[in-house]
Amino acid sequence: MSHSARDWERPGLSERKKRIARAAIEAFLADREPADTGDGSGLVVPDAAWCERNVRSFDLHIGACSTLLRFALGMLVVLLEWLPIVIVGRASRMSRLSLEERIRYLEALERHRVSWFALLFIGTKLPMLFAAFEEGAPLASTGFDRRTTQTRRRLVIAANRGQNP
Amino acid sequence: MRSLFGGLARAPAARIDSDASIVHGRELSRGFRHRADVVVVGSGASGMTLAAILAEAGLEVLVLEEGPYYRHQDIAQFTPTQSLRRLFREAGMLTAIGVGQTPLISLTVGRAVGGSSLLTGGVCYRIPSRVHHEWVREHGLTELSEARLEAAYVEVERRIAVTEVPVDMRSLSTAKFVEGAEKLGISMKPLRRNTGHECEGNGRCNFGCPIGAKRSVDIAYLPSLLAHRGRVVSDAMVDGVIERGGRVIGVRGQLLGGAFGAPSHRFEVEASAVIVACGTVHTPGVLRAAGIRSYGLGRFLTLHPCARVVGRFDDALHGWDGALQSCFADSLDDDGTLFNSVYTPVNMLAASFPGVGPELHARVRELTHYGVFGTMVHDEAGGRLVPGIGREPTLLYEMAPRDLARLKKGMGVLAEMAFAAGAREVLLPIFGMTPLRTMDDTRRFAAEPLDARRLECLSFHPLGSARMANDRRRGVVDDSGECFEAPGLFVVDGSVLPTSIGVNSQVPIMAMATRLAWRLRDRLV
Repeated sequence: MSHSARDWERPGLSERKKRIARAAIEAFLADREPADTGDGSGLVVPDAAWCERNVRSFDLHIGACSTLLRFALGMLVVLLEWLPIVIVGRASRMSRLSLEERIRYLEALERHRVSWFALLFIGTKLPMLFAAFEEGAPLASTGFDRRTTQTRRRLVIAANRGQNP
Repeated sequence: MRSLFGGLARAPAARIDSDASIVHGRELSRGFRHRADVVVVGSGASGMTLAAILAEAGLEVLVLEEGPYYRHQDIAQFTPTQSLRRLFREAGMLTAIGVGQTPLISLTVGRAVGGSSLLTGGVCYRIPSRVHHEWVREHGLTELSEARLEAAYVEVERRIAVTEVPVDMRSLSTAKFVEGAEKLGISMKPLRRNTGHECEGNGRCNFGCPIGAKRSVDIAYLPSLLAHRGRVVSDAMVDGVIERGGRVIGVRGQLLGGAFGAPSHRFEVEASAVIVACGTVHTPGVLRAAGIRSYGLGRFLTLHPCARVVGRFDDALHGWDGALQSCFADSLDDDGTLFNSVYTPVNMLAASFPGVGPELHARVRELTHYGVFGTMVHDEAGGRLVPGIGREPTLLYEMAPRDLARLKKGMGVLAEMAFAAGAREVLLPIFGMTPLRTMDDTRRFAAEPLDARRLECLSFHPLGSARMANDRRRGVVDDSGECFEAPGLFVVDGSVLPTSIGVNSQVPIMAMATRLAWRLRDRLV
């Protein structure tokens, strides 16, 4: 039996938590139009399929953890949803904020002087983005010059062999 | 009969329902009862090493591994996130909870056939002489002297092909930090790694070498184990021991990893010698299940806390091209700080950059310009393990103020190296911190107090939760690895190390397992 057939994958998030994760991932991965002046109007919503891949990866990641860690990470996701009122004074859930407001909220969380809030930020951001730049165009955007992360290094000696058989 | 979770054991079926030498426990349709000369719980650097040596001596050895088995060819095809989910305990998110002024520390621990040896950067050190001397002089452990371990070191280094990393295998990321170090008068030395002369510098040793150059134990020892009288059952979690006449004579547990919702099956294995090699974090749980309450069990744990400093340079470095780890500096070794070259897979590096949205993307687009270097601290024993909810223990760690100061100093020195080599900005692993832009910023960082809870800290070498001692009042196992309180039960993994060692622990653990295996062989054969 191949390893892929043997690896059943267990989801770890409820649909509600997936919606929260999707909203956060959208903000983490939003970009600006090249000519944007920085007033927020030029924000580009990331590709939906890309966000969905990251939600799926995050879901499987949590599913691969022990019961206690699954519970803890689930709690972090819930906290991420409800903390805008504490962090940026907006009486709204994170997933209902506009993209620009979500980015501001997450930035404020990252730089918050209370270290627990910064930990909440990093504890959710990292697993949500583990897969974000792992393949395809996002991987290429890092400047990584191999086809995939599993591809072997292109050695100079191999190139020379190709030119001078 | 004792169990980690209590409760009555169900009688398992008769025999292992497979003739394969590596049995995937998750595919078995029923449990089993088995008899072997030696049963080894855990298949990492220590367990596999010892199992192979005993099998080569003609003993029938059964290795039980909680995690799954993958061929190294399969592992080489995993993306980093697949590796995290399939090979790393807690999918790479195992964390030590900081007590007081201590950061949360993320631990890298393997959970697969091959254990953490699958996840190393291949770095091979011996235990420094001063640590050996301390163990002999202050702990009275003459068996752990440098001279007694010499033959075991030589044997291990031969089998895993330890060689010095040539200078031309260094990545440009590493070269930048080396350049900075030279300007500061810090000398860098080549690391030794277990890749022979086959390393191509693919830069992903810790997520599976694409060409199998890294001689982890699944490559260096497993084939020999299987060629002799050894077998491995993966997906088999031990949760209790079997005792008879006051002596441990076997283990029992359950098979994991079946289809979601499918019932798990029980197993029992009896043997003349029972070896526990579950690693520092999980061995105490098995020993507690055996009724052991020795002083120090689950306490005095050391982690070698590490921090990673990232610098942005004008040149494109493509830091992924080159040996993942290639050189080190021990100029602050007397102060308990080591600097090791390292790199991080691009997707992990990108995810860890500070910022959200456009700010994050701006850094990701410049990723080729970033170089990485690491620092590691020879720490005091501030960790302890307490039974958690479910099968994972909870790890608490209180960092000594001296260790925090060392870590901060190490990060400061790395930032200075980066600026000396021309870095435009340096990202310290401190959540929410503005990047350093100049050498003056580095000096200000050194002068200001550091809130440890904002520190992004890593650990790759948890050690010492079931310490070896020459007296049952001071430790858990004697100098042959046998538990004081449970005759017949041996421990061979990193948990027996009496103190932190200040260097990467794979070769020391394997050398100690080799020496213990030789002594056990003399008793059993």
